[in-house]
Amino acid sequence: MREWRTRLRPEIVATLLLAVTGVAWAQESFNITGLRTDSVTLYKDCKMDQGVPVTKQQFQGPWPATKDPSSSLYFRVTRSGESYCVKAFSVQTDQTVRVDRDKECGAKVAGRPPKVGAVRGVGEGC
Amino acid sequence: MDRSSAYAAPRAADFSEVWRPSASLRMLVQCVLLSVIGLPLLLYHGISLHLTPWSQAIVNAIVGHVYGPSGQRDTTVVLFREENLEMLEDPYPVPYARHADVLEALAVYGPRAVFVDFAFIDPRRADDVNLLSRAICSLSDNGRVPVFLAAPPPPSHRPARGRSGRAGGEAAPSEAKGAGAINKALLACAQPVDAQMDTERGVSGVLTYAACPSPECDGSGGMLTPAFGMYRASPPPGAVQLRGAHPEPMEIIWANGFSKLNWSWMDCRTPGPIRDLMLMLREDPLAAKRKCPYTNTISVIHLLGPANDGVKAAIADKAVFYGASFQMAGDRVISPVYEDLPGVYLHAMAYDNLVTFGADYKRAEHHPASRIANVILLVFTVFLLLVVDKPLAPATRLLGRIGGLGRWMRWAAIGLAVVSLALTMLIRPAAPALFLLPALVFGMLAFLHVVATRREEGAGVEHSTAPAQFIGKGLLGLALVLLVALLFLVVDSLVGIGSALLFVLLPGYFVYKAVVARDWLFVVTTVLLIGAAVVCFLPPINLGPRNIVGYVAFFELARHLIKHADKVAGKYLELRREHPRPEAWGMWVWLVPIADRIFTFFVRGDDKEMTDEGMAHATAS
Repeated sequence: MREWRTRLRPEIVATLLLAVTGVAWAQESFNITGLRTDSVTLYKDCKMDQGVPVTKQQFQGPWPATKDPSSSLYFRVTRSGESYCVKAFSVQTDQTVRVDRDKECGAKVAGRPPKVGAVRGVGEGC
Repeated sequence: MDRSSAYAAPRAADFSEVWRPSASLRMLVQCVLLSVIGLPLLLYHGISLHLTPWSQAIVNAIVGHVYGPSGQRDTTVVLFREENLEMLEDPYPVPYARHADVLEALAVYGPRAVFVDFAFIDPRRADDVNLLSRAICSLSDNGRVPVFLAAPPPPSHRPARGRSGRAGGEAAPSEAKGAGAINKALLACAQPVDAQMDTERGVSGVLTYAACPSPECDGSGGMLTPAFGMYRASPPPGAVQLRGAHPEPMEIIWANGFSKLNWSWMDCRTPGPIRDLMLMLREDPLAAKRKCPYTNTISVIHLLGPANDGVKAAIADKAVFYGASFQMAGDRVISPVYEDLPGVYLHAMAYDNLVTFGADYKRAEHHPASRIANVILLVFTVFLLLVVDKPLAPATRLLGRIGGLGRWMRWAAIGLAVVSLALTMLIRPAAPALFLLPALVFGMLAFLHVVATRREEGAGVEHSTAPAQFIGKGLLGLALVLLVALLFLVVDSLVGIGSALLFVLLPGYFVYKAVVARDWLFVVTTVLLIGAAVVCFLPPINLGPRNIVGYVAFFELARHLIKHADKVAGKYLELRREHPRPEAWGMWVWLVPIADRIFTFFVRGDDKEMTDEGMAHATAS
């Protein structure tokens, strides 16, 4: 029993460490220092039907932000105590925002698409 | 009763006479016959179709070494992959709001020109259309960044087997409305372009690209295709502008290379050289293709993510082609170099060709000059066949005159050819074909002089068949074959099949023909044909690659054919001499005058018997 515990402990520790690091990384904080487009839309609580436009002139930064854990395409922004989402490409940040792993990694672009029933001809392969 | 007596037997004196065409007429008839055989074989199907993969594989290998990188540096594809729909939680077809996002993100990175390979022809909500329209206008930046939208080809001008070349497969039924079907609001800040794709040809795939395919292009109207539209509206700095309102169709040269950017995120691994080789042996030399496109590519996920230097390098001041890779849309392009690609790559590659070659881009196969070049090459091949291999009297006279010129003329011709070649390489003129043309002509003259003098010396192409030499040559041939096979495997595994064909198999075959078979005629003919093809390819002629393998195969085939025909004709004339009486020909006696007129045309050489036109007794010899 003791032996089992000895073996398990490092694994638990490592898992916890990784989890903590992962959460910390996902919540990596930075500042939005400017807008890259003439205006951006801030989505309140990340609801796409509740957009608030902000123009370059209206921007009074910096806005504290974190990465959106559910999507690499948005940043979470806190403004006047309220939480918003903003499109990642449309803003400038004070530091490079790293992505954990390219989601497109290993993509296949060339090649013959697999045939499906809908396009299989009568008598094919007979 | 003898059955032959049932036919009207000609008089024995008349029968023994064989009609003889003049040597000039025989040469003309043989020339026409060979050309008639060659035309359908080379220009339509037959040899050409079967040998295209081999010729194309060699062309691919050459292109891999000579195609410049300027086009690749200036062109980027932004790809909306099928998997991106799921990542973005978007439905299909792609919502206009998402397209607006993409165009907005593009605008942030500052492209030089953008082509959108989506046909916005399906009915959508006015809000969505306005949103996309605003995004297009924002990207256009008051016309500073030309934006082009794909318009389906008009229904009156659509290839029977071709495809629209429009990515996304959106709203196919309304496509029939043609270019006018694009929502007018979206054209406020964009221009429509005809995204029609040319038909695939044989196993090589799409090789031609129209500049302005619709019938209206004959007048002042008509839409340009995306590549031509983009190049005309916003050529890269220092580029030469195209001539004329409607440029000629293009023969696409599919660059045979790789993109560092694509290798950084795509799966470009190949199964390995041995598997490639097996595949090629089982199918054809084009069976193993590259897995990743040549054009630098990013996906919409890269574009819509946080600001990125890699994305900036790919988009800033580049010609951007935004298209889709949706499997069920069927918008794929088959090329001789790459596995099936999304249709947008066809436009990107055509644009790449324009940047690389400028106004000297290669003219399409169906350009009239291309057909003329094919016919010239065919006639050139037939001429060589008739002149150098057992020539007829007119050719003998021609060779006699050339042979009488003296050896210094040959060396002068070779010297001039070398000078012409060296000048072209040193000066690198704008019209190299004109500089190389003398090299071709002088090379041809030198070759004819060699043939003429060897004839006079009685050397011919016959070589000694002494037993020791026979065994020696056999061993030499075997060693050569083994060496070539070994080198082929090594080069194939290191560099690829194209280079193995180009640098090992072809030179190996030439060395075999020259050293073992002592068939200099084949070697020199091939070199001259390749030279002619290179001259056709270079500016200012600018035609696409020729199927030289087809011409060389035709040369060999026709050579054996005329030798065989000559042998059969000789046998027939021998029979005529041996059997001068009509009775001997039995029931076919009535066919003999016709056979006389057929077989005498096949006779080669310049025997005295056949040099004078008229009638002569077959027994005269």
